[in-house]
Amino acid sequence: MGQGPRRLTGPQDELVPGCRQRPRQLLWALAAVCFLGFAPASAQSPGAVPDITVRLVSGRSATLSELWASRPLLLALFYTRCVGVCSPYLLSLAETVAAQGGAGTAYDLLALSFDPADDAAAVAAYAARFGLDGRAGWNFATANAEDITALAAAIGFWFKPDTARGQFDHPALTVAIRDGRVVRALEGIPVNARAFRETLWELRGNFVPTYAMPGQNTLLSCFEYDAVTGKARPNWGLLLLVMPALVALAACVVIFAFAPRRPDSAPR
Amino acid sequence: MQRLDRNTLYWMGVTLVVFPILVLLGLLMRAVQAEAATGLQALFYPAMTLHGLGMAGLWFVASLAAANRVLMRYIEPSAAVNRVALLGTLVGVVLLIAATLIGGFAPGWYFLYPLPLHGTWPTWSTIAFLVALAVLGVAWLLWSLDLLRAIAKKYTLRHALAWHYIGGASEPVVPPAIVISTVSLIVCVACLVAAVLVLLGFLGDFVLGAPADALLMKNLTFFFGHVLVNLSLYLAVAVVYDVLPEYAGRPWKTNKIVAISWNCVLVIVLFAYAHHLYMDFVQPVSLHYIGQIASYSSAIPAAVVTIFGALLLVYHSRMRWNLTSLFMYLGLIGWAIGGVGAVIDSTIAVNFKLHNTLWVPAHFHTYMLLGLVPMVLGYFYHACQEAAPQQESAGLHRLLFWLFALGSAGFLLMFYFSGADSVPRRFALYPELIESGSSLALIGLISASVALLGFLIYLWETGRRWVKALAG
Repeated sequence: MGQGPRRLTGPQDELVPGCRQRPRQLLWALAAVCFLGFAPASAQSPGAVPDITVRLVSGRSATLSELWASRPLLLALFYTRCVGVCSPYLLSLAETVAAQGGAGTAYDLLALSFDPADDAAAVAAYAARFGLDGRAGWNFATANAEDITALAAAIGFWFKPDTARGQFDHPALTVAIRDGRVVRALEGIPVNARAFRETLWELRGNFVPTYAMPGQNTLLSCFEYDAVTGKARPNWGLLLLVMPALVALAACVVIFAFAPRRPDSAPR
Repeated sequence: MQRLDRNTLYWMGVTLVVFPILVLLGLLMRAVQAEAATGLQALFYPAMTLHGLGMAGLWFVASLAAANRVLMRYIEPSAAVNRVALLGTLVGVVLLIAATLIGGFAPGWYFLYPLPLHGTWPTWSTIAFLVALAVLGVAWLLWSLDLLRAIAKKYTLRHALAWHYIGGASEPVVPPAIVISTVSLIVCVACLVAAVLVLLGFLGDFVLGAPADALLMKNLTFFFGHVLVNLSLYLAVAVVYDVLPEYAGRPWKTNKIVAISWNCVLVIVLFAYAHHLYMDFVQPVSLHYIGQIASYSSAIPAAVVTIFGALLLVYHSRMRWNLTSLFMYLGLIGWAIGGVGAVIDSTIAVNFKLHNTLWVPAHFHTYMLLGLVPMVLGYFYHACQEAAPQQESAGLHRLLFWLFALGSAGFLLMFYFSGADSVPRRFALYPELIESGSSLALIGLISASVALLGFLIYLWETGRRWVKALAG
């Protein structure tokens, strides 16, 4: 089960939007662009979330768009019969939410069962069993099978029936949605507090400059992103960036200071 | 008759043999893109890796060898260190050829971390590449340090960097070649230290399993690569400062403006590389601004002052136009045109659109093929003609010059048109969406073949003098 956040990027199939014209015209356009700059391109990004209808444990039906209309939404998928990751995942999410705050004011949460066999009563009982009912910003709900399938496909959530055990194979996935689009997805437990803070920062519409490492325990990064302040702090790796210039300067000083000088040497 | 030392002759020989081979690899790439090389598509990325690395490395050593010879008029560099650098370069080239053409090592000529460690090529080819990088880095670092040592033997740092001119003095006289070479060699040491750090990053991951930071590695890689290419041009310019006056019949001396501009270059060139990282959204925006400002600023002191000086040198002079002076002048023009392309590319708003198009290869091919290459080739001819004089054929020289210049210009224009038409770079084959890429590649291929024909005539002209000089 993976651990890190997954960032959704822009479209890869559009090369340079608005630039496919004749070369001569483009050369003129380029000259203008040198002074004026390009206008931002309007690109249709992926990550649109289908506006399905869910049945809340209160008995009310609501569309997702109604839920994300006032505040961004964190969507968590589970099912009540799960004997695996669901309860530790929801508890970890609840713990992180409680630690970071903002539920019900900066964002809402929707814990949605993806098991068609679950009904409102079962989900309500599940929430109560783990003390998650009545918490500010939290909603528990079910949906019909077709809508769940469409939603899962759109947000990249997979689940596979394990008929021998009557269970589902599935990841622990939290999907952050703003204005009907997936901003970021957090996978795995325990819910990564740092990634969660970054997600909240992004849900507020801020840019989060972090990047995936090629492996764990990466040596000497250039910048450390602080998700609380939203700023990048210089890190030890930056020292390596100035080292070439410092070494060259030192070598130059040593060479010119200690080379035996013969000002009159003029070969040829 | 001016005797040519063996080392310079060997560097010339290596350059004149390896260059057309690397050109053929470039033609192969354009042929694949033009769909005119069926069955050779698999060679595209190994060819791109070798072509790019090879050209950048070859013209750096060719430029340094030319500068080395020019500097021998004023200082005494070590012939032994020069020979070690030559041997190291040959070993590095052989390893690179083996890694790419036999091993299929193909992460592109930027070899951005961690791609070289995660390709489909065999492990030995990655090792061969890393060893080649180490050997070349050590050999070139030794050579650079020795040249600095030789300069330091005759000049103080203050004089070598012409600071006394900035202070208003004009004595002692320091030739521009010394000033520009000192600046370039200090920067060269910095860029080779960056290469060592990149190598250590690769080794840490490859041997110890400790991954390096990708952003740090990219910064260091472009610091190394961008600065190396820049100083290759600067060293060639140092040669032009020294040789072109012989054809103009006028001196081209160091003065306050020349001193200030090249001292500015020493600082600015260290920051200009940041324009390669505009696409890296995790890099703080302030560094992007530094990259743009440094890129704009670096063009003014080096290129504008030099080109303005060259125009004044030639204006109303009794210029003797032959292969050397024509090529050197062409080199300065190409440098100016490629420099404008580079400044446009370093503009953040433009780069945002053009970064991954063929506009980028267009501008760096301009200042390489029409800038650095003719400057160095012009000097090689000059040195060979000086060492083994033969009757010059003005008609033949004009023919080869125009074949080379027009063929190169046609080749480059197809890159520029492709970039303007959104044709992406690093694509071996173009999908239907960008069908113009193939037809422009075909015209580029034909144009480059014309330029190659011009070079082959140059090879005949210079080669027979080179052979005579070698025999003498």
